Formats: sequence, structure tokens, C-alpha cells
Amino acid sequence: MSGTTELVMAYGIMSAIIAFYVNHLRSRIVFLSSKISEYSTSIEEE
Amino acid sequence: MHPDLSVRIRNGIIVTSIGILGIFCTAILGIFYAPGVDPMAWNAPEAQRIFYWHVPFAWSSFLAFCMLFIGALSWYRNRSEWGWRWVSTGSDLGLLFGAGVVTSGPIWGSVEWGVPWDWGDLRLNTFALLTGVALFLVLSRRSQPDGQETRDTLAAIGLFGFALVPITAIATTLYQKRHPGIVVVDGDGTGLDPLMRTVLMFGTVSFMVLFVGLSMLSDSVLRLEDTAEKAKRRLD
Repeated sequence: MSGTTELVMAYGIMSAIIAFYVNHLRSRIVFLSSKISEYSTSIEEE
Repeated sequence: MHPDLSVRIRNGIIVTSIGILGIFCTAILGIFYAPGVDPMAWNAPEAQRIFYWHVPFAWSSFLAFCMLFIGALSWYRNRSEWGWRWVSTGSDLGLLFGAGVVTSGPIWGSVEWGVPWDWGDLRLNTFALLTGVALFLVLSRRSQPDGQETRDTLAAIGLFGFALVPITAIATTLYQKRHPGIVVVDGDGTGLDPLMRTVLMFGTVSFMVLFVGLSMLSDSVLRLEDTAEKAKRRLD
């Protein structure tokens, strides 16, 4: 038992945690940018 | 969107990308290039290579808790918006890096020690508690209405939670039971092979770059939320 499976598992989980947070930030930036554009357009139309 | 914010987001993406590239190079170097440990002295010599990410994850989480502490102090002193943004970013990153430590640690422990967790080890338990504080702050921020009372309460929890940082750090040297002690500083029975140290230091720098990039992006998201909220109120 050298721990190779555990090595792969640990790196996999830590990578998934980072990927999850980066994707969370990306989706928030996209969502909020579109909301701000939408609000700005509505304000200009008024 | 304000041009300054666009530049901030673009810079955040660049710094985060450099950090991600660096940490993946660290993983490759740690797995394929760094020398292994004595197979006779360790139960799971290959699993030891987890530490090239595990240790920088832990150091990054301490940095995040420092950010949370400074932000909470600033919020109490001046009710500053940047202070609250630091509380938010610090708790997010504290949870992110803390979660990485408390998942990778037991995976290594289960194969090296034969048990994933040692409830008698102060260092493991205070660190888990610290991550629990970050989890509580993140969930509370999402579930509670944003206002001065909520911010006061959560900043107070962040301030008291920070007390666990020196306890965990002191436990590393004074109350070392099962978890390996400090390996970066050479001493009796401690120290690292120069190649191992080089890979670990490269990993630490890469994680610091990633930390800065993620902080910039998280700060930008909070600024965007504020801008969207103000625009919505103006529209209403």
C-alpha cells in the first residue's frame, strides 16, 4: 500500500474545490454584469 | 460597468490564471520530480506527496483568516465598506482553503496513520473549528438580510474565531501529538530535502498568487453586487 490512490483522490478533491470557487466567481461576474447593463438600459429609457 | 471595475476584473483573471498554472506545475513537480520519502519509515510513501498542496492550502487559509480579522477590525472601527468586503472575501477564502486542508488531511491520515482523524490532536481540532467558523460566516452572509446588525454580528464572530489561529499555530510546535511538526525549519529530526523544499516553496508562491487573484475577483464581485443593488434602487 503506497498511497497512490489516496494521492490522486486528494489532488482531485482539492482541484475540484478550487474549480468550484473559480466557476462560482465567473458565473457571479457574468450574472451581475448583465443585470447592471439591464438596469442601466432601463434607467436611460426612462 | 465602471471602467475601473472592468480593469480590476481583467487583472484578477490574469493573476488567478497565473496562480492556477503555478499550482498545477507544483502538483506535477511534486508527483513526478520531487524525491520520495524513505519507504521503510512511512506507511504510505506515495501519499506523502499530497503535502505539496496540503501545506500551501493551510498557509493560504491562515492568510485568509488574517484578512478576515483585519476586515472585521476595520468594520468595527470605521464601518468601512472595504472592511466588510475583506470580511466577506476572507471568510470565502478561509472556507475554500480550509475545506481543502480538512479533506486532504484525513485522506492522507487514513492511509498513513490508519485513522482519518485524531480527536486527541489539538491542532487538527482547532483547525477544523476554524474552518467551521468560516463555513458559518459564509452561510450566514448568504441567508441573512444584509444590514449593519448582521455585519456587526458576523464581524464579531470573525474576530473571536481568529483567536483559533495562534492556538493552531502554537499547537504546531508545543502540542505536537500525531500531526507532523514544522518541516520547513531545520532542526532535530526535522527538515526537508533541498529539492522537496524548492517544490514546496514554488507551490507556496503559486498559492499566494492564486490567493491574490481570487481576492481581486471576489472583491470585484462584491463591488458588482453593490453597483447592481444601487442601480436597482434607483430604478425602483
